[in-house]
Amino acid sequence: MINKQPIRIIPKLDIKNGLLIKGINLEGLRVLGDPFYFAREYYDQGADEICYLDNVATLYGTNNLSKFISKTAKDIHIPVSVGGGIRTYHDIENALVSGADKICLNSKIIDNPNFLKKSCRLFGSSNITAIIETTLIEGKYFITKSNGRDLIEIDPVSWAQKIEDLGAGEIFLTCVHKEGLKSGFDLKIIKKICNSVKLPVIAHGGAGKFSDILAVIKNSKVSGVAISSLFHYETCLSFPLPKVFTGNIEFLKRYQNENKNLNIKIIKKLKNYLKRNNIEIR
Amino acid sequence: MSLKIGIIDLNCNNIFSIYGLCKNLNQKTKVIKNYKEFDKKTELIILPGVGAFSNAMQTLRSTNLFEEIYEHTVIKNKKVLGICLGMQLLFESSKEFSLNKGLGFLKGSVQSLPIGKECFPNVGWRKITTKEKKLKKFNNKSFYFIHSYQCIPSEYDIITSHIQYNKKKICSSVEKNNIVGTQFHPEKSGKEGLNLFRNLLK
Repeated sequence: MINKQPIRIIPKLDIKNGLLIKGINLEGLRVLGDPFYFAREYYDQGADEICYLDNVATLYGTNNLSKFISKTAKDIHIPVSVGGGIRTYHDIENALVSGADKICLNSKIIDNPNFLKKSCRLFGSSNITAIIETTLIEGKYFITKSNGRDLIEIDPVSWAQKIEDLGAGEIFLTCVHKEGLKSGFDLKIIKKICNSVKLPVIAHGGAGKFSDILAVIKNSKVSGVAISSLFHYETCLSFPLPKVFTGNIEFLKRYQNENKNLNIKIIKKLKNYLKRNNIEIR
Repeated sequence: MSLKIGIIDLNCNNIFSIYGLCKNLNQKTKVIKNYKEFDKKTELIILPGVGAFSNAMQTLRSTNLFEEIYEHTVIKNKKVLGICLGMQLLFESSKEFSLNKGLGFLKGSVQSLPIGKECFPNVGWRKITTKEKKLKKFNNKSFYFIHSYQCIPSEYDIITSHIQYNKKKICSSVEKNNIVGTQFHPEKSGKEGLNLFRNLLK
């Protein structure tokens, strides 16, 4: 019997100032709560990995996810990927030492592709994930840097192939133009990228209904699906409002008020749905 | 039962997860960066694994930990657990980048995973197949793998479990007397991983 590898379901958490945030097209940030609560809840429900991205690290020249990484690594026994503003070998080392299993790189390797090559040599290919942020403008695909803020005139498919040549272990593909909208994935570009490399590809950006996730799994060779809005909005109803915060908490207050129905175990629900639809799931 | 555990820190690892796990299971755990920090009363050495084979071996030599680990394992016959890269280091050699010498505690070599239709490297969850009595309850359970290389033991009877990858059998764990290795990460494999890890400490 052929042992088919299960699809990985990966909650992706964007963090700013120590809080879980969520945006649309990677912008317009709403505070949703303490990321550790979410991570712990997702782990309990059977998430296969967790991905933390420090949302503004490239812009301000900071990199301070260590606290979360360590806390997560200690109590949550699934792989943790970390990214956002990783710019030096020292940053990578610090993240690994804090407890990260995979390091995600984007802006730095666009500026300096050799950094990717050297990082893989130093730390091992399997531990370096390249993030590709792709966006669609007037029918053409480009890539972006700094969490969707800078447009770069490079074709994502050739960039994916270059990333593979340079030694990365995995690709995390975010469709910026679909991100946060909950209107489905961009199957066209996801398929193209998956077919252009041998690397495992994680698709992110667009999950709104369970059927969206089923569609991307059935119509492409994705190795995993990363999900933000769909998970966080359901789960934020289970937790109290954060006591100390900076940022826009208005949405959260209103949303919690309007949606008193608590404790929807969204990851469990999703996994059961996928299993019923014959998808190999852990 | 509490063991004195020494986790070898090769300076580019995530040792945090393993450390946390040992502490959660009430073990007397120490992280060791060089030979000065090595406590000769250590009962179990854990060689965790992230990173490149050649860099890891280089670090083991420059910190003089190679000698301590050799004495612990080969002379004193005390327990060692290698995880992922740590398991690969236990063997004689690896072809990563160029030919590199390993610790040589187990006969065999480390080579690239076979190429085929599946994604490369092997990243994600896979079910292990095992006929070992000790591991019976873990047969067909999923564990987390993240690797480009595989161990090819010369002595087949030390293989305690395998996975399927590109239609080939890949060694996923070994045991030979005091030496145990897992290609997967028990500390990253959820609740099953915790249970298996607890099992390995006995």
